[in-house]
Amino acid sequence: MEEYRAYSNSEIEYLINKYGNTVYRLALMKTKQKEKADDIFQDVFVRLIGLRNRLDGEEHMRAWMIKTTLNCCKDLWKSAWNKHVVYEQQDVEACDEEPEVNNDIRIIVMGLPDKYRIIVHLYYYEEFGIKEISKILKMNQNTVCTRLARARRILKKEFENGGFHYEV
Amino acid sequence: MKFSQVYRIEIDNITVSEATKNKVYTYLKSEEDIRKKKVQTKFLRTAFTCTCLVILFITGVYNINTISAFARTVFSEFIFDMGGEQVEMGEMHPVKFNMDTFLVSTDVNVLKNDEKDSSYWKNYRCLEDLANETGITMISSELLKNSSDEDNYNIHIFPTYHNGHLNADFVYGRYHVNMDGRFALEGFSQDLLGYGTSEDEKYDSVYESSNGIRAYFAKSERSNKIVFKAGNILYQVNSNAPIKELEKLIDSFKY
Repeated sequence: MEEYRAYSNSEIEYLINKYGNTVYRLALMKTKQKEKADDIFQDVFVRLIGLRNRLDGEEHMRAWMIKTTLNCCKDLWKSAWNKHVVYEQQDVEACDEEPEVNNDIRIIVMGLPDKYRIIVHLYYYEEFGIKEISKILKMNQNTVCTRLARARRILKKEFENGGFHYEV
Repeated sequence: MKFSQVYRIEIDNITVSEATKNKVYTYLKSEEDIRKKKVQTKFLRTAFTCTCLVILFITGVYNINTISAFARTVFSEFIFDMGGEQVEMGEMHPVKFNMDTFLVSTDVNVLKNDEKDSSYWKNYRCLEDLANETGITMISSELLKNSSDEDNYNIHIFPTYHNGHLNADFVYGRYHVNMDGRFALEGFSQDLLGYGTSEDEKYDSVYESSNGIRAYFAKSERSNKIVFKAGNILYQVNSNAPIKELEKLIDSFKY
């Protein structure tokens, strides 16, 4: 059996500075709640501690961060607590720590159904290709394409309604 | 303007807070402290075991009154392991026990573990009978009453391992007290580390009574446990009485 070594505290600190925002942003886009994104952030880096000789290369590390963040989000929703508690849908604006920032686009994207929102985030923000997204989400490439197209249609409609002129 | 550009600018504004990062750093630090403590405890245990082995080897090689000499060496610096912390209990010596008188007395029960290993136990109605027949004086208090009219004081002797065990149940006001005592006999050769408590049982407070008893209190959900040494007997008392009441009880002990 392969034995995993642990990262030192300074190495974890370096990785938090490098990938922390990626993890946090994705968690926030997925959960739409700051407190949950905080929990997921901590969970991801605690899981990382013992995997020192398992993750090699920057791309591998980045992909692990994305996958683990999504898995942690799933675990959070699967947990016994969440099964028995119905959360009130939190206002997206309440998640915002910088009220001065114009976040209309973020609100529109946050309003997309979960299955489209993550694909939009990975495609437009993390700049993953269709093939990579299909691998991360363990999904057929055609499904990713279809969902991305549907998400674009919804976004276009929302932008028109809101008087925005963005090319999707 | 392209959606991807605007979206990127907005998402770039989201950053993880320092407080959230600090939670991870705090967790890492606490994990490191636990790791260090574990290594330290392991080292101390290994060092102690090695010392014991060296002493055993030396006494074995030179054949100088081997086992009892070793036991006395250990007891003169008797240390009790409670929840990973080493608690100094002072000197502890084998008790004087009238084995011959005890074995020929009436109502002694034999418990055969195997052909070579038998232990002997007997119940006594009062402390005086126990002391007269065995030579062992168990701790007593005027505040304690026997919980029944039956023979309340049990003694169990393990000749193979050169040690013995006392047990009695009492009523203390409206509370219940169970008393457990352990002692070594002449020829005892084991160390008494972890004697009577589990590794994860830590003491919460220490009480020093006017009669010279230093009692270690370990609280649990259902009862309070007290560990202390009186004379050459290590006692463990379990009771549902509150700590203040138990402190009064300790003050009243005679030994």
